[in-house]
Amino acid sequence: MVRGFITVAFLSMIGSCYSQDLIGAGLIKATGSIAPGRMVSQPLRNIYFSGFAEVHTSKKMSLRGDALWYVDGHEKLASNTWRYARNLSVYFGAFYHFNKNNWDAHIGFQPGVAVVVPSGSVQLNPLVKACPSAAFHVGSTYYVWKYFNFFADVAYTHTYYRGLNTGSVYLGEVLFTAGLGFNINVFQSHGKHR
Amino acid sequence: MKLVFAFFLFCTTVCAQQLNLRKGEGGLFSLGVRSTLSGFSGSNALSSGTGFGLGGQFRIQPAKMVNTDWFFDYITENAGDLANRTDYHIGWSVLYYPILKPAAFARPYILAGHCFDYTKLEENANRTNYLERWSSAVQGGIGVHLNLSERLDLSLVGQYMIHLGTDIHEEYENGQVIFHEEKGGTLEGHLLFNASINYKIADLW
Repeated sequence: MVRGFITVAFLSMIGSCYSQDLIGAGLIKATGSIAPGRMVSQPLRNIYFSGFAEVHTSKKMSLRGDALWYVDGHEKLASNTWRYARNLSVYFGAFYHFNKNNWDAHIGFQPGVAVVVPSGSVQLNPLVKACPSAAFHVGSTYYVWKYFNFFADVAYTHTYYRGLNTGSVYLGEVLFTAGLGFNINVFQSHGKHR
Repeated sequence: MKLVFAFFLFCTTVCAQQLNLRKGEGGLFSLGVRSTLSGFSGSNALSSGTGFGLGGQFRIQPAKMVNTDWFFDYITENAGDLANRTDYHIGWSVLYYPILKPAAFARPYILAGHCFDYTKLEENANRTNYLERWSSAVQGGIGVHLNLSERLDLSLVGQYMIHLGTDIHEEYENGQVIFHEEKGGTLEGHLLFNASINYKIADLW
């Protein structure tokens, strides 16, 4: 509790030092991080390398592209029937922002595609498949400086793999990512809602 | 690295500029991406299922109350337990805005259009066992643009698409998956729901 209070106070202190209006048209953000995920219909936890690039078209709106690269997975139960060999997912969509000073909260929707290869333990000679997908995001960012931010994001991805011998598999997953982000505003005209 | 930065700078410059309309809304060009839910209601119960797809579109608005939507969809779904179906749609729709309030947050519209599609049915366990078909379709429906900003909108559409072509479906005989293509044209319809994000790039004229 005390530690949390100190953390918030510290962030606020940094924020007050850079209380300029950072969020606005022209703000570019990018980051790379690790995203643990939990599948909705499978007792499986996955780990991804994740990254995104985002362009603010206004203080309230941004366009963002995300990429997820599967690293490894952990079975919670021995009865698990699914496992990735490879998964590269890319998404692109729009985000709406609720911001106050250096705090920013967002919700977003991104259509995308997951290029999936199931493990050989799922099926012999599995095919690489392009699976239509969509991602719904909610998260928050705190801009500590004109070049850095701390962010946290939760995403739900909706995906099906079709064509296994046993039928389709639902690959819906809840992913969490957080860490350090980089930002720069290439325009000086902040705050205009376009 | 320089190229990446230049790309972002270009995107930002394009995206973050204020939209200057030359002569009203005519000439607006938009780009978008979309997700699609598809529910088939064909005569063959085994093929009925919910598909999920990804697509993209661009819009060219020729007049104040009329827009055109040029789209591509890639949709996958189950065909029973032992086969799967993939549909590719490419087509266009004309959007008519009955309410003349372009700046309103919600702008409803009616749409109708044409589509060409390619369908492939494939057995899950034996990918050499498949059947494919080209056909054409007409679609109509209603939708609404939710204008999130001057340039950006979230569009929600419900439409019914009727395919004119030969009916293809799967059947199970003695544990085998057999695909059939019926002789003669038939009408096969499905309901499509789209959620799309669209960005107005420029006013072309």
